[in-house]
Amino acid sequence: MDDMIVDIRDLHVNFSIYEGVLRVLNGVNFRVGRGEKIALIGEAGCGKTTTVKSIMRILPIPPAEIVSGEVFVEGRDVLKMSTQELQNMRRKTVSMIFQDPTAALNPVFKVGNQIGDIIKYSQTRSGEKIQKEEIREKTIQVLKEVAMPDPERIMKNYPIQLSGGMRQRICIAMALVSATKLLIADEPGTNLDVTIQDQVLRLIGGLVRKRKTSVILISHALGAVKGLVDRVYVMYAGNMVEAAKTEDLFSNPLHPYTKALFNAVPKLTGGGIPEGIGGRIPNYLDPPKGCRFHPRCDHAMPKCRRKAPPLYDMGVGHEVACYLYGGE
Amino acid sequence: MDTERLKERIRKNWYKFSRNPLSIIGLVTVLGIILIAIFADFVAPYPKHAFIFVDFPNAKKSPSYEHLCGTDMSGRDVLSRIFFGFRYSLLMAVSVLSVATPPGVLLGLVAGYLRDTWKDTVIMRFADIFLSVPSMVLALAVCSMLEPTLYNAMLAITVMWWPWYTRLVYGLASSIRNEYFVQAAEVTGASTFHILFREILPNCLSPIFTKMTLDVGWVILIGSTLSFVGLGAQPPTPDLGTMVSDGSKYIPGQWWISLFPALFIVLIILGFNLLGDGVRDMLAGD
Amino acid sequence: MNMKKYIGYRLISSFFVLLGLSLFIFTFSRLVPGDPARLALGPMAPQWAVDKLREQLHLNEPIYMQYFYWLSNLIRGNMGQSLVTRRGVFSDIVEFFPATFEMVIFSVIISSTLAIVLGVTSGKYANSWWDNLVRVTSYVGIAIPSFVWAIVSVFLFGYILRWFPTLGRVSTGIALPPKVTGLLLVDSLLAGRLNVFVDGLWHMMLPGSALVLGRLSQEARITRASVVENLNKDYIMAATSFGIPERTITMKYLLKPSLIPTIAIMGMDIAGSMGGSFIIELIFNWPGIGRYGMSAMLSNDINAVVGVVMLIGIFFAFMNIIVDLITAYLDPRIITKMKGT
Repeated sequence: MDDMIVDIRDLHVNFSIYEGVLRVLNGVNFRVGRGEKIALIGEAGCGKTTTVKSIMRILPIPPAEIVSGEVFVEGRDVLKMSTQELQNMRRKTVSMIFQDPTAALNPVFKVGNQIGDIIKYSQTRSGEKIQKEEIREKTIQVLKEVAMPDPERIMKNYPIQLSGGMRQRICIAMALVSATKLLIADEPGTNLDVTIQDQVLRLIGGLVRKRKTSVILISHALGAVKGLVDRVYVMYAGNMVEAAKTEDLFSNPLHPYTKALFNAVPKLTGGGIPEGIGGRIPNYLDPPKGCRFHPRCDHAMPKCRRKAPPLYDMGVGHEVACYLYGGE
Repeated sequence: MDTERLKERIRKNWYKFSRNPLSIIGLVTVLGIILIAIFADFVAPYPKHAFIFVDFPNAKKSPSYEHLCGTDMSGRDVLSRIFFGFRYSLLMAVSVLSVATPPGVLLGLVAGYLRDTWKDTVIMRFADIFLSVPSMVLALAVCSMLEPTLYNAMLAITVMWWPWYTRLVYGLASSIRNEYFVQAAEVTGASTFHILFREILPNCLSPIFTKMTLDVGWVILIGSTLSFVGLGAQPPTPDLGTMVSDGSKYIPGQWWISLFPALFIVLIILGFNLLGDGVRDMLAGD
Repeated sequence: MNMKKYIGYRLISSFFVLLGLSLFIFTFSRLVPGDPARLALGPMAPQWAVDKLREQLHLNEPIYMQYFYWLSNLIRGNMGQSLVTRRGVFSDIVEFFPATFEMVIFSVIISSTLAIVLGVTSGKYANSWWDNLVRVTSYVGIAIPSFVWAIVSVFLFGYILRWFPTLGRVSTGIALPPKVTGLLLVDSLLAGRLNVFVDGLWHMMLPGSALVLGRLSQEARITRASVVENLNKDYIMAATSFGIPERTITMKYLLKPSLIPTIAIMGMDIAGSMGGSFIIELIFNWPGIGRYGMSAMLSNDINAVVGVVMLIGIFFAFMNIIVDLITAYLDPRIITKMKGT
C-alpha cells in the first residue's frame, strides 16, 4: 500500500434527489501508484467525477452520501481524516483541474489574487508567513510554466477578460501550485476548441513529466489520452470494469463493454459507421442487480444477474470485472 | 388526450407549488380572505355595522365573546367591519393590477422588440420618469392633488405601477427576440402584431403572472398606507387603513379599534406574499 | 464602453428623466381643482388679496408659461415660496433635510449590517433552525406596512413598556447644540453634550425602527438567496479543493459575489426610505422633509410639493447612479458585457 498514492476500496456513494436516491458508485476499486499516470474513461454520467471528488472529499454532502468504502491517500483514509489533515492533503498532496474553467474561477476576483491565495496557503508550513513580493514572484513563475504570455498583465485581469484557453491554463496553474504528488484533470479542455484541447493536454503532459507527479486524467475521448498515460481504467455505471496498461487495453480489450466501446469508434481504415452499443445506461434510481452491464451484454449469464463480479487479475497488471474471465 | 396532458401538468405544478408548506398556508389564507370578502354579508356577525351604524351605549367595548374584536367609537363591531374591509383591499389590488398591467406590458413588448432604436429609448425614459421617485412619494403626491376617494387612490397607484411591468417585459422581450423562432417568423413575413402577441408575449406570461401575484401584497400595502393618511376611502367606508387611522386616536386606551384592522392588513399581505412565492416556485422551472 | 462613458451616459439620461418628472409633477400640481391662492390665504381673506397672490404666482397664465417661469427660477435656485410657511421652498428644504437624512442614514447602517449578518448566516446554514427562524421573521417583516409598525411600536414600546419616547426629535426643553452639520447626533457629540446625544438617539429609535423593519427583511432575504445560490457554485468547491481555509472562503470568496444584489437593493432602499419617511415623520412628528412634504401635499402647497418631489427625484437618481457604479466596480462582468465595447 505504500507505493500507492490513491487506493479506493469498495466505495459506495449515493445522491439524494427529488425522486429518490441515486446509487451512483457501486463498489468502486481504484488504485494509482506513485508517479503513475492513469486515464479514467467512461461515458458521461458513469461516476468518474464523483469518484475523484471523493478522493478530495469535496462532494456536497447533503445531496451526496458516502455510504461505505475506504479511500486511502498516501496510506491514510480520507473519509476518516480530521479537518486539519484534509486541508493539508488538499494543500500539499492532491489537487484538481475542474472541467469547466469558467465556472471554477471566481468571477469577481482578479486571477492573480486567486492564485496568490492558493500559494499563500499551499506553499507554506502552517504558521509561516509569506511576503507579498514572494507570492507575486511565484505567481508569475507558475503562469510562465503554463505558457501564459505576459504574466504580469494577466495577473491583474478578471476571468471574464480572458479567453477560454487562458482560463483553462489558469486552472492548471492553480492546481500545480497546490499539489506535489497527485494531479486530477477532469476532462481538461472538453469545453474548448479541439486544437486548444490538444494544446492543453500536451501542456499537462509536459508538466507532469517534468514534475514527476501522478495523474488521473478523466476523459471520454479514448484516442486523446492514449499517448499520455501508463494505465487506463474503464468505468461503467458506477463500477470499474477493466484496468490495464495502455497498450494492453487497446490491443487486447477483455470486458464486453470495452470491446463494444472500441468497436463504436469509427475507423479511418474503413468498415463504415459502426452501430453504437445497444440499450441505454442504467437508471441509477433502480439500477440492474448484479453486473450493471448485463442488460446490454451479449454474453450475459445467469450469475451476472445475481451478483456483480469483482476485478479479476489476469496478470501483467490487467484486471477485468467479468465472469467470462474468472469466478467459480 | 388533451385532458390527460392537462391533468399531468396540473399535478406537476401542484407538486412544485406544494413543496413549501408556507405556500399552502398562503393559498389557504388567500382563499379564506376572498371567500369572506364575497360572503361578508353572511359571515360577518353584525353585517349592518359595516357602514353607518350608531349604538353609543355599546361603543368602545373591549373584545368579548359577542364582539371578538371589540366595538369602535360608534358602537360598530370591529370584526364585521374588518370582513367588509377585505372587499376594498381586494378591489384595490384587482383594479390596479388589471388596469396597470396591459399598458405596461404592451410598452415593454414594443420597447424590447425595438431594442437599440430611438423608440426604445423614448419609451423606457418615459417609463423611468414614473420610476424616478420612490413609489410611495409619487402615489402620495398624485393622490393628494385629487379628491380623496378610493377611486383616486387606485388611480394614483396605477399611475406609478405600470412602469415595473414595462421594465420586466422589456428585459424579457429583448432577449426573446433573438431566439430562432422569432427570427423565423420575421423571415416568413409575419406582421409585427403577430410577432409581439403570438410569439414573444406567450413566453413572457409566466414571469408576468408571477409578478402580478407577488404585487398584490404590495398594492394592498401602499393602498392601506394611502387610506391611513386619509387619501383613500373615506369614513364611513370600512377600509382597513382608514380604520387604523380612525382608531389611532384611541390608543392606548381602546387599542383594539386600531390594532385588529392593522393585524388583518398584515395577514392579508402575508398571505398574498406566501402565495406569490409559491406561484413563483411553481412557474420557475418552465 | 468604459467607466467614463458609462457615467456620462447615465448623467445625461438622468437629466432628461428628471426634466420629464418636473414637467409631469408641475403640470399635475397646477391642474388641481381648487384655487391654491385661496387655500393659502384662507376663506376669510378678501378677494383682492387672493387675486393679487394669483398674479404673483402667475396662476392666470397658460401652463407652459408657468412652467417656463418655474424652470428659470429653478436654475437660479429659487423654488418659489411655500404657501404655508411663507418662506422660500428651497430654504425650507435645506432646513428640514438634515433631520430626515440623519434618520435615514442611521436606519440604513443598522438594517444593512443586520441584513448582511442574518442573510449570510442563514444562507450558509440553510435549513437549520436559525435559517428557518430568520426566514419566517423576514416573511412577516415584509408584510408589515410601516404605519402599522409605527402604531404597534408606539403602543408597545412607547406606552406599555415605556422604553422610548414617541414624538419629536428631542425632548422639549432641551437646549440644542450649535449647528455644525445639522445632524443632531453628530453635532451633540462634537459639542460634547452627551445628554443631548442620548436624548436624540432615544427619540430616533422608534421612527428609525419603522424604517429598518421592512428594509431589513427584504435585504436579508435577497442576501440569503444570493448566498445559497453561490454556495453551490463550482468556484467555491474549487477553492475548497485547493485547501483555502473555510473562513477565507466565507468572508472573501463567498461574500463578495453574494453581496452584489444586496448592494443594489440597499441603494434603492436608501432612496426608498425617503419615501417611507413621509408617513413615519407624520406619525412621530419628526421635523424632516417627509413631514414637510406630507403637510404640503395635504394642504395643496403646490410649490412645496413640486420642490420636495424634485428633491427626492434628484436624490434618487443620484443614488441609482452610485449603486450602479459600485455594482459595476464589484462585478467586472457588467462593464465588459455592455454594448459599445
